[in-house]
Amino acid sequence: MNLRKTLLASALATLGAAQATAQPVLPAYQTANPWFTEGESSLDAKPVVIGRKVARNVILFVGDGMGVSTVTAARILEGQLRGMNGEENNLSFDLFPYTGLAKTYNVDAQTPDSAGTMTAMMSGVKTDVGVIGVDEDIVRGDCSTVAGNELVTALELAELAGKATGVISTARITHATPAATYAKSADRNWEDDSDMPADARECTDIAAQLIGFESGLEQRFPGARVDGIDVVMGGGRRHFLPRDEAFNQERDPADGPEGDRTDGRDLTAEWQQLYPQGQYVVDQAGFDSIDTSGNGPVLALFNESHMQYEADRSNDILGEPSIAEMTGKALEILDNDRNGYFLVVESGRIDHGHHAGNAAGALTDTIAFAEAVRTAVESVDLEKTLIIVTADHSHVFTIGGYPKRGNPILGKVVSVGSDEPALAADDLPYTTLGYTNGLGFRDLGDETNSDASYATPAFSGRVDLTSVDTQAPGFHQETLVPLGSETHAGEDIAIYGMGPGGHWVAGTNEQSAVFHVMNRAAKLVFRAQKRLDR
Amino acid sequence: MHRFLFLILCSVCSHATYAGCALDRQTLGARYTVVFTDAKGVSQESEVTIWRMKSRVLWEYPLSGIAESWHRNVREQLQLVRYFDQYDRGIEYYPADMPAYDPQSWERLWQLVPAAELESLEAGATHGDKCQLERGYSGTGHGLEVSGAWLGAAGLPSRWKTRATGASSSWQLKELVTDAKAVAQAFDSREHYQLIDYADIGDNESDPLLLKMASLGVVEHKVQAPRVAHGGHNH
Repeated sequence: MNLRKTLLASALATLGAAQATAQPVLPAYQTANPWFTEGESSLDAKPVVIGRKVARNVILFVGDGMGVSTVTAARILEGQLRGMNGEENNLSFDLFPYTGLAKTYNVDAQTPDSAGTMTAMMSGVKTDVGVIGVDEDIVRGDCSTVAGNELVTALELAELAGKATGVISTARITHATPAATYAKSADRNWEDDSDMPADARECTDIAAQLIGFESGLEQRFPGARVDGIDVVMGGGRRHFLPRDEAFNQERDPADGPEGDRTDGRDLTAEWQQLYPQGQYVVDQAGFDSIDTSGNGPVLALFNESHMQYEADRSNDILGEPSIAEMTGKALEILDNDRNGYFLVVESGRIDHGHHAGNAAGALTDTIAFAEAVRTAVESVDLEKTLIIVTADHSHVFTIGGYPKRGNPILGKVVSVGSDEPALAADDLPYTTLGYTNGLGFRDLGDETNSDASYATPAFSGRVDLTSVDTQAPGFHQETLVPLGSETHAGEDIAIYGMGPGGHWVAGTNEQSAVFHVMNRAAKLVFRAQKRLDR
Repeated sequence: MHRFLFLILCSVCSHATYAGCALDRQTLGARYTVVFTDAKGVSQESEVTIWRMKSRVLWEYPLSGIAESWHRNVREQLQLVRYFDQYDRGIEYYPADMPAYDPQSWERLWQLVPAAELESLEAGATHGDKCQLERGYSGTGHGLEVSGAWLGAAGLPSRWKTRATGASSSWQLKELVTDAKAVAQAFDSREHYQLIDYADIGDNESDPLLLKMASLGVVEHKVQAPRVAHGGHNH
């Protein structure tokens, strides 16, 4: 692979010298990568839509860990919360006209992680587990292997094409999924300098890459006219602040520093110096006062670590907006740009709710995510906007049998024709929802923080649930295999498409095809190259 | 009786007032040898060092290379960091992810035996003087037999034994560290460790070390504070 890269680079250099062409917006090793070429050609085999318009705007919604069983269970729960049986309900994106599947495996992993999967969706190139924005020639954790393996992302192409750009996540904004839109890193955990080993100091941590995104892009593409990411909203403030109580913004100084950085840099201050017209906010009040006229970028870091679970959001000390509110506000800002926009919205805590083995938490965040999609659908021009809703991977989360129609999805199985919980072969009732592995049963009552039980050991096997309220938010489903954290799953996930180019999601795709759908729908490479050539 | 009450009240006060003893009980370390004997008579010896510094308590398990730093924050919440010394790494549990703070659980971490449990026992004779002044205690309840000696100045047991249904645990104080620098060093020595949120473990399943840490942290170290009564403990 490296030899091929060298040959391609050499050929390109020769060609460049002979024809004095501008720098290609995508490196040859990206466009020649088999994942990339096959992804591109896979779209050619799909039905042609006559009169298709070019997408001016692209919105990619990613429900982290939102496998098909999660979509189904959330759909039922949302319906039941509305007084319906539930099964007949539709989440907002269930109504999208086009649906397909994606194979999520990473180059080196049958069951993937978010870093590899989101890199595939953003660059058209599948890569290894745990790495961000780089191809499979990377060695995870080896800083020296980053150079020459960086991939150009759809967000970077949109930026180079002169579009407004935005990234929203309910996780830390430096977490794998949002990071894969803007960063290149040999390890997903290098979120700030203190996370990096001593021999990686030549590399730039993910938070610093976000703040330096504009200059970084200008460095890689000399002469590029870019203005940085216009909207950044999420959690993860600690990766932007020095390890010094004086910089605390929410935590009491007596409880130690909020920031993690050991290089003394206050990246929030640096960002404000770079963008004096920008708006930096940390809480609900700040969010409410954001000027959406598009006169300056927005950096919103609502939490020291991940934002709260939706079910727990009202307990946040300074207040946090919902994912739907963030989406709506971002669209108000981004649609001021006459060149259109590119926005990525991640619901990061669906994944965390599942990791904690707490279906109620994961499903509540999925419903909130669907509300964010609804907000977008209702506020954009669907003639000009491609909206894709998908997941990065699934979870070992199942919907068992055989509850009757309308049975509470979080409840115990009650069979058709019965009003009493069905009993298993061990004479104990059992829940419809369950996990194959993870921390297992917990009965935490009205606890709305899914992570509340992490400090206690995993518990596998059956429990007498007769007197347990399994519909309570603090109930954690039983599991078979005891693990410190429930795991991702390897089956396909769904892709939902709407708007120009949405039909290209149909069929069973490699996950890297998502990039090609966005690129072809909005002509990202073409427009970026054209602007670069001027 | 008055002297007994004084000792109990003093078990949670910051400075001992024992004549000639200037021990700062908020800043000290206590090394224990702990012997667990199961109902079949099989014994297992372990070591635990408990470090106190203001609102922090650090439990070190030198034989397993694990340490747990507990912090009671100003909002009366508990924060836990589990350190894995052989890897220079740790797992951080945010206050919101921890069981709600309750004084008895905190006292069990701080001084092994909560004041209320100590109070429920029968006080015996005293021995020694100044910082070494200790009082014997014994009693039964909830199926447990308890006996031991309480070092009033430090607010810790010098020896403590509980027995139930044939099994027993025995705590023996080996060393009391009062040097503030040594105490600070115990806390500071792990500052450079790479920490990860427990909520992020699930996203790092390809890192076998992290998975091992996650399992080690909640399963393998079994040394817990002795107890007289049944009740919650934060492990």
